[in-house]
Amino acid sequence: MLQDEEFAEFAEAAAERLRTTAYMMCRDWHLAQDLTQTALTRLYLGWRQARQADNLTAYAQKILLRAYLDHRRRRSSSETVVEVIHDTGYRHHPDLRLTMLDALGRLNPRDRAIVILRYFEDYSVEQVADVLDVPVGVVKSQTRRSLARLREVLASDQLALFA
Amino acid sequence: MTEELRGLLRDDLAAQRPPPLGDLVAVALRDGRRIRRRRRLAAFGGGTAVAGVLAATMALGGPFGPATRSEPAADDRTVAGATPTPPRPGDAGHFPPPARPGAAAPGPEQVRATPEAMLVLLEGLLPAGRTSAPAKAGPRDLRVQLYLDRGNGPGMIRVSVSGDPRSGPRTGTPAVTVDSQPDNCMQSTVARARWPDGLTVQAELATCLARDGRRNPPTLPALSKDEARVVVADPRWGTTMEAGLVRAGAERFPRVAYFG
Repeated sequence: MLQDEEFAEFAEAAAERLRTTAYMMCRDWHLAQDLTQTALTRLYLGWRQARQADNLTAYAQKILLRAYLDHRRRRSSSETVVEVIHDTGYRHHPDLRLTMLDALGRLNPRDRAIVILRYFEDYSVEQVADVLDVPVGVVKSQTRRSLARLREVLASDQLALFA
Repeated sequence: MTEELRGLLRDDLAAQRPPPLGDLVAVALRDGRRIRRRRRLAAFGGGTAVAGVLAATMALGGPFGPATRSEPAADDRTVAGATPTPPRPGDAGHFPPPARPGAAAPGPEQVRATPEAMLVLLEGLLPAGRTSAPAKAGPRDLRVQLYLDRGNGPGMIRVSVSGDPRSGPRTGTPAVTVDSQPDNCMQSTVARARWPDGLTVQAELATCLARDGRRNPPTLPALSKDEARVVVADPRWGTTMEAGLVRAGAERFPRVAYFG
């Protein structure tokens, strides 16, 4: 029962952050809620091992992101049905400018996860590689590619960030 | 750059209105304990079965004992072992839902659900109209599609089921939510039923049809929100379904197209 209390204490503290990460990945609060629920349940089932982790939050993020990537593989929830959008048009029309979340949505799921972990969660390249189970070189190259993609779609005033 | 990028993301998030976090932790604890119990029971059951076979073999004089007629092994897809009373195959009207969703009376035999059985059940739950374009997301994916034409042209409905396999009759009542996504014509309205055992049934009402190669032709939603609530709240949805529905699905939809 002590382990359950430990888990509950950690989960209470981490749930909001996990759900926010999930939302940034999927842009759907209900799905984010479901993914967080799934991740917490899996974390509970492996709690004995999880509590030995150096960084428990990163461990939980890893479970969450894998749940999301599994979800994407399993279901066709990613159907894009809008007409073709000429991304660069956003740069010249202030009324149409994308938010950063919109821009992230233009990246594929793994690249989005890399940007979120690197620049929102402030993980090191090595930590991102561990969470996503990819080589460090892939994280570096995909980060460069993702930032270039964000540059393409963001408005000019936002581009100053990438100068 | 990191701080500025993070700041932009924080600004975007601050503009959001997320739903309440709810009792995520309590549900995770409850579901986790339930899964653990099930795993222990499965392990215990397996051990007991092996011990039982060994004991019986010993009692019968080992492998050279008198020949006996044993019961056939249960189909590994069978989850609940209630006496099957197969209804005639056909439409889902032959498979009446339990009168009281909250009741836990033993139900018909449950087997692993199939997309084809989902199509039979969905057809039976839809209001009067002409159905067409049955499709599934994958060979065993519990996600299906039907068009329903109620006189105003076809409207598209997609239903999916997710959750752990259950081993007995469904109990309790589902929490049903309906959300609108006006900027997503494929999921313009999404109705979800969440059952206490972790099962989620989702119906997506579209305001366009599947892509015809060039575009998604616009259309009217096939159901009202209230009708969608009734569809997702039916207790017969599950990762296991009545054996009769599964048989009817195989007969009614021997070949089903895939949607992407």
